[in-house]
Amino acid sequence: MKENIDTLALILLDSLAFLSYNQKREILKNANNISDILDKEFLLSLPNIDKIDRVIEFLTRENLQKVEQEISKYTVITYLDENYPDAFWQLEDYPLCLYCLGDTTLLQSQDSLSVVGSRKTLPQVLKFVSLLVKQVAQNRVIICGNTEGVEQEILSSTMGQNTICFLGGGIEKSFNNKELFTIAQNGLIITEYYPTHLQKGYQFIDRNRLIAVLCQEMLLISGSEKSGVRYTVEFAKQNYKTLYALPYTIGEPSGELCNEEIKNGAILVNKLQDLVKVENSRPSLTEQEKIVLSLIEQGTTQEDFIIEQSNLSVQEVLQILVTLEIKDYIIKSGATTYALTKF
Amino acid sequence: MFAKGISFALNGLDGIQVEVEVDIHNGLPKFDIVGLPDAAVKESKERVRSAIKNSGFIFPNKAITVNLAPADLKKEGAYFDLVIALSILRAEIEDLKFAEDYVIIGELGLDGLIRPLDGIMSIMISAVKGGKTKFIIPKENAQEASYIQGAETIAVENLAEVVRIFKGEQEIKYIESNVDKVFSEQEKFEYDLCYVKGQYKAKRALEIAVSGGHNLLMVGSPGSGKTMLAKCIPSIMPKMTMEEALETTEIHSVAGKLSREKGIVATRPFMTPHHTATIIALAGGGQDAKPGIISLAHNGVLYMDEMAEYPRNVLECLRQPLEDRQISVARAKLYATYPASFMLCGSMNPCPCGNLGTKGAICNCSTSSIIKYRSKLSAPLLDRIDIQLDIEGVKYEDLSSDKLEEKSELVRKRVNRVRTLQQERFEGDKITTNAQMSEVHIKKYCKLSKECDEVLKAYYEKNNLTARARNRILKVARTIADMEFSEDILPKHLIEACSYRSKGTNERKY
Repeated sequence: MKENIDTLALILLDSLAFLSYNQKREILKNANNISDILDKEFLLSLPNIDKIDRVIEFLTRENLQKVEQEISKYTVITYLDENYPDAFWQLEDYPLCLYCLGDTTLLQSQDSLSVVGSRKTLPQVLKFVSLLVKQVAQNRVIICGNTEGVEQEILSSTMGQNTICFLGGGIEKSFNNKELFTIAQNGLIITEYYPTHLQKGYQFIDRNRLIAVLCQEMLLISGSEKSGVRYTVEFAKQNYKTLYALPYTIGEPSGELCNEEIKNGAILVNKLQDLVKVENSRPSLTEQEKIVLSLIEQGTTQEDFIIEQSNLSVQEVLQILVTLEIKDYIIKSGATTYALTKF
Repeated sequence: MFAKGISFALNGLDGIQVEVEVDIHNGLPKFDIVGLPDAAVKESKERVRSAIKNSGFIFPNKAITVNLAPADLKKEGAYFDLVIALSILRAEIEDLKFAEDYVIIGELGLDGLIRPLDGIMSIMISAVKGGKTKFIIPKENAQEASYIQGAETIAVENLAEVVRIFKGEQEIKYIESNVDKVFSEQEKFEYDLCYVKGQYKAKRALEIAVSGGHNLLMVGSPGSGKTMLAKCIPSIMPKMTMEEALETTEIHSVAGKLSREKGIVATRPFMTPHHTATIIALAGGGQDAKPGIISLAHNGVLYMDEMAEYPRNVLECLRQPLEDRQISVARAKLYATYPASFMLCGSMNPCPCGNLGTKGAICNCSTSSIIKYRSKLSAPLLDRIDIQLDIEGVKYEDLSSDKLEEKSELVRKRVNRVRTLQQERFEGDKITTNAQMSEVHIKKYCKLSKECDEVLKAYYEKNNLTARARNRILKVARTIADMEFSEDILPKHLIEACSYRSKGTNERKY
């Protein structure tokens, strides 16, 4: 029972959004037992705590029940628990509590790959990510976030299988699509923020440090020089993680960071085979489809030019392009342009 | 003394018969009009008095009461001037052989001249349906009246002329029917498809859209040729049938937009509202519930340039007319239903800066601003747009082919054939084009073979499509099959139909 009160008191303290992380640590440091923090006199004896009146108002035994109710849906791992991931102890600002939904045993995995990238990513790269993570998730744990672009692509490809998804806010405030529920069923959703806390911009950077620290290896998909991904990469390097990156052509803004990291020693990945074993199982092509595909291979990627140079009728070319798309050979990469998905 | 004449009032597009009764009796001189007249009708007292006097007749110095029956209907406009004047004269002048089976419509000038009025065609169509065949109308309205079959119409210039006709002093001249001449004139178009270089897919999509009456949305960067393509649409639109022409003319006549020289709308209307248009301008309304732009585009095209710049509520008001092909305008005074069966053609940029997806251009828009921009067009509205097309500008010098582009005239001939095919198929279904097919029709006319089902399924899984998109694809596939005169929808038709979808309509995909 005592242990339970300790945990709940800790969660109650963690749920106070108006207190900073350092202030929470300060309070905990001074307490002999964690349940002491529910004691008004103990709180009054603390030096240098702002808004102490509000703290006293909220840290009461009555509020414990409310907290217990609010977190009943989630699994909460505190730093007091045995299954608290060891990796987080490397952090100076280790999370006090982790709010989880799904399979928490994934956190103990010793073979995980975090896949990071920016919101603005080329469609052909997204296609590559989708194929890659499907393969990787068969036998490794994938760690990612839940923002648009690369991270959304990962989640919709693996549907949560062997996937740990870190949120930049409370679970309730981030749950705006059905997809996240599927992920919780197959994999794990995890965050250091109390379920009702809002998502805030800077929290995503904080979240990135957890992604970087928990994984064994990191794959960098995309990112411009100013992208928030650079923090994640920086954390990973500080923690001596192996870094992989995709190469980009010169001048492609969404690939500046990748090229930079490759220059600095990241391992270049340009084929699925670089990370996983794959068998080519794509369906065969007809003669006409081969003509169009070879045109795209040679750099004729715009519809109008394909129509002119293939000597096929408009409707034939349109049919072939859709068929090639269904067969996974090409992807629409711009308003009227196509790109290969052959990696 | 008592006299009676027949005229018509307008309620929306319907003409309503109004009996004008005039009673002249001894008493202090007065002139009253009863039967819910509005200001314009009340003022006709002064016009009638002066017109009678200035036409050389004597205005009776007695008590005059005019009753407009039915008494509970609010009457608007100056439609009754002429019939009131004639009724007064008839009560006084004995040898005025006034035939009560004439429908008399006309506004009087103070000098007795008869002025033209709006909505004459609507009134005449309603009257002919109600069994009235003889009309007296203002001379300037003669052209539009000449297209009404089964009407004997006399066009008159002034009050004195009408009196002469009724006295038998002047020979009656009925206006000649122009029904045969409506479509004889060669139409000339400013824009022609042969001036559009490249854009093969877009041209093909235009042909499909017009053939099946499908709504079309073009998404492309500035300068990619969206407006140019849209302006070519009138040149490939199929010919109007007489019924369609009359329907459209009726609306234009009521709205007062009909050209008096032409008298009929014989080419399909192409309406291009500006994006500052209000809901009332678009849907119709105002104090007297006049038809809006979407009704004026009936049987034609409504082209909305820069569609995402329209206020969202203005766009949403299109949803119901797109479904029902008519719009009901309810106002305090009246409730009118106007037909609004139009092909919607819209164009917009892919993002606020316009560069998203364009090869070699950088888009600096944030994801949220793109989503905000795109979401101006709601999902239910997009569901009603069968063909969504991405367009990208092509540098002319890059196009090597110097083969002559196809002329609009040729495309138009093909479109005409496909439209005839659809009309034959849908006979008895109360629709005319593939785009108008409802769930029932789709089940009946778009049966898919097993092979087709598999193709569609594969495409669905690849693109995470919703069930709503299925009907759109099927309708377009039906049109493509029709263009090849194929009874069944084949996999190739279906695959091509799949290609007319804009990928990034709601999310950032490139």
